[in-house]
Amino acid sequence: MIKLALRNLTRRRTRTILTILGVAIAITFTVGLLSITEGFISSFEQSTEERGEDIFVLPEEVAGHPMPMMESYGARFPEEYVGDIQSIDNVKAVYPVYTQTLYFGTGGKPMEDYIGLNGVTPAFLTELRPFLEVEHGRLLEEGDEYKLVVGSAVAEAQGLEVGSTLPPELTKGQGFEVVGILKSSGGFDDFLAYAPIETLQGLYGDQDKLTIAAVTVKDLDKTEETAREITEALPNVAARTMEELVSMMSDFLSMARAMHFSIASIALLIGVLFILSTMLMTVSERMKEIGTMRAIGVSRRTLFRLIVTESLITGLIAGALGCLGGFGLSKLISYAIAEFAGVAFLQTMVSPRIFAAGLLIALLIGALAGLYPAWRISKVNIVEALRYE
Amino acid sequence: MNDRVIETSHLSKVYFMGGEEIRAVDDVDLAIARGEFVSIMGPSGSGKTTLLNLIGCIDHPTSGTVLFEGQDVSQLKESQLDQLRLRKVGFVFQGFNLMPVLTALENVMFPMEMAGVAKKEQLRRATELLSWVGLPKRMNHKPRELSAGENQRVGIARALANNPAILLADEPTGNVDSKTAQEIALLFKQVNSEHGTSVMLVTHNPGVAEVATRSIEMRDGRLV
Repeated sequence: MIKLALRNLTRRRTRTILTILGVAIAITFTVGLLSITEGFISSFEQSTEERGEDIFVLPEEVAGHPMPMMESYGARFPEEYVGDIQSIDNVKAVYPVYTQTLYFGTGGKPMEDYIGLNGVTPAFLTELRPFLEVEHGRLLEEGDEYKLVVGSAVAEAQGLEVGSTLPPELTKGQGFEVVGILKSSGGFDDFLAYAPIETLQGLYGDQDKLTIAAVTVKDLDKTEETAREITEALPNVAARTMEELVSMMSDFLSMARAMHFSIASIALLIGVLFILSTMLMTVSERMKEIGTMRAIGVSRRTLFRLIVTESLITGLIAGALGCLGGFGLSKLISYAIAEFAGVAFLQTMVSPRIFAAGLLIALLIGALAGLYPAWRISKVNIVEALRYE
Repeated sequence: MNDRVIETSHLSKVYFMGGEEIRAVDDVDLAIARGEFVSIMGPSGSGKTTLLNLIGCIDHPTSGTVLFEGQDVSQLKESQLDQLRLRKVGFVFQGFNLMPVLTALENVMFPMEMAGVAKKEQLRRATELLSWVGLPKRMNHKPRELSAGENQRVGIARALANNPAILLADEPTGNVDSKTAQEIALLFKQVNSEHGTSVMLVTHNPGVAEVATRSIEMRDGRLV
């Protein structure tokens, strides 16, 4: 049966190949698009799990930004707020953060032309980012000045090693020394560099200003309440719970996913129509042969299975090709994003799950496209089919 | 009863075409005994093919019955009719109707595969049948690589694959030259005498009809 189905597919080679290519392209796009969402979700999950802070206090202007530590927007609030926040009932600890963007070049490519520089206290790294591990060197320590701990992506892009110094002209004449390089965590932390907060504040003349205060609470059940209290107590800042930030991100992700799925489903529809039209053509050309098979005693069911098998094989081959194509496309998208869009932390990812989805979808296309022609053929009148020319 | 492979009684098939009633087969009583070779002649449109289709269970009568080895085929479910055609009937077509993607050998094996015969046995019997019809050296050729006469020999071998009770041949020599037609006719004769298979053969060719043990003529749906 499978042998016969395969032989039947080789009858009109060009047409079979074109059909397979058409469907393969549909699958390629599906896999490629899904890999974007998948990559984003994966780095997002890496980046939000295991974070120590429960609340972010941000200047009001940037309160809608889901990833406040990634870039600096120039908005600040007074450092004395730290004491005010600390005095609120449920607050356990406050970690001041001062972020700046460090420009290496005038291009817009992250990592190559600029990096996010986070001024933090040593406690921030050890208590709120316990998952960060040092690959070379050490973390920040009390008393450090003009020292730098960099994420793996930063180190790679800038060719930094422990002991390297940043060109002084970039940092107002002060040569920062790299004391530590972090192991890749697969998340956004790979794309950041950390410096002592006082050093950065001093360098940029913002001695008493912060961009973020990361807050931990005593009673997690009262996190929301505490955030509200902070927002109400202090002017021009907004407190966002970690959960809020995550759900802001999730909304964004769901939107991206929905968009990708709708594009993918159009691709799938095209795939189904491709195979369907080919199969309908094929079976009408083979009408006489189908009548002959029925006359010989081949049952409707067997014929049905034969046609569906042919369609499934087409789908399967197209699916395999499409997965390979999708892998390539995903690499291309990653490259294009890094090259043009300038958001290097958006990496595409082709997981086995995506390959499985691609193959499954292709098989589904094959099955769906095969059912109607198979059903039509199995209902054919034998005498009429035999008379068909 | 069992000496009759086929027995029809008051068998009729009526079509309506453009509001006009066409009695393609009209009240036909026909019995074909086991081992009998019947040829059916008659002008085009006289109902020969329709009669053959009714007996071969690929068409349903408007009225009347077909008994196949004593079994009223109208009582059979579709799947049983499939099995009956697969195992008891061998069709031979004017246009050969071989599967173009299969070799001669595979074409002959096909009905056996459908009948669930073991692969080894399929191969053995298909080889034997193809040798028997005179194609021992052409087994691995596809239909388009064979002549019309060779293709019809493959068609006959395929029809014999599951050792049927009757061969039903509709103008089997219609697409071959007269010399080959005679050879094909003799092959049917040989099938009939050596295998004891009943044959019902529709033809326009009096020379082909001659090899039959009984000749019937049809006109306007009736036997004359």
